[in-house]
Amino acid sequence: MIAALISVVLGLLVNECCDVSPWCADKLVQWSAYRRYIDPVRAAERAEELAALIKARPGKLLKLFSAVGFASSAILVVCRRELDHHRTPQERQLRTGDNATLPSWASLFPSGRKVYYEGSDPDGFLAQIQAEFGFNPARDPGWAVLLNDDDEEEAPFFSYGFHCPAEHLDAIYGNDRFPMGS
Amino acid sequence: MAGPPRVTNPLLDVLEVFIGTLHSDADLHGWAIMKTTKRSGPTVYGVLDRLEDIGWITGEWEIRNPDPSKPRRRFYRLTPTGLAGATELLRERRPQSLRPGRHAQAGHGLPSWRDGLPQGGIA
Repeated sequence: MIAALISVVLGLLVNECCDVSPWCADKLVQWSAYRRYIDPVRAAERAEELAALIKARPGKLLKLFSAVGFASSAILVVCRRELDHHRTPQERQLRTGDNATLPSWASLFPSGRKVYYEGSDPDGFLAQIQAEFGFNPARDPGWAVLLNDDDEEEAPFFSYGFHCPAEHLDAIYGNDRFPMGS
Repeated sequence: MAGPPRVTNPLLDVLEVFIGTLHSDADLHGWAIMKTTKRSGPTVYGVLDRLEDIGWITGEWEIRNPDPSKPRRRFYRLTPTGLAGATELLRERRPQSLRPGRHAQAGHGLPSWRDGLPQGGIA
């Protein structure tokens, strides 16, 4: 008797859930649109559009699953937006690849910066810098300094450091043209 | 010309559908694009958002669905900028998708909404 009653109640519950699921899907997909889009006009458009899309899907549960997909996507977008909100403008630009408005090296180091040539042709580099930029990095006392000369464990090597004037920092140091470090 | 911010496979799939329906009578709405590309709703709408943002597509509402029991749909089409950009992008990434034979096939089976429109056209 109790088993029969439970099965009837469960059947009614399942039936009720199935009937409610399209309504839930409609509400959920509209909620998703208003969370996902900041622009209220686009949010309203998408809410209507997605509600129509959900209605076009066959089956009650499939409607709900589709709406859950849109809701999950909207939650991800909102989370990303919140994370982005806490980033600095520079971090945001680096993330989006928009370097157009990043500060120049010259503005960051208005009196120039000590940089190091890390390539294998220091003489060629010297000649190129002198010809193009009109100054000689070899005049810097940090140019061609032998390091690790008395170190038994590591091989000695030359360090090619020089002070790069601010007006040439972006051309020499701030791009991939020369193998530079700092 | 500004290109799409990020070229992904779903984006190329959606562009293929748009290019494929250029010469057919079919009109594209989100559900049709999802069915043709076999991509999920959030993926397709993410692409549509990006394409709308850069002005490659525009969307227009139909006044009412030909089936009165169904809600109206929003149809998308390529703008002249979008057509040039999409053609260039597909020529570079998926040259096979621009073969003439594929155009007719891509739009095949997609519904045409004009038949059900009143004389006033779209909103």
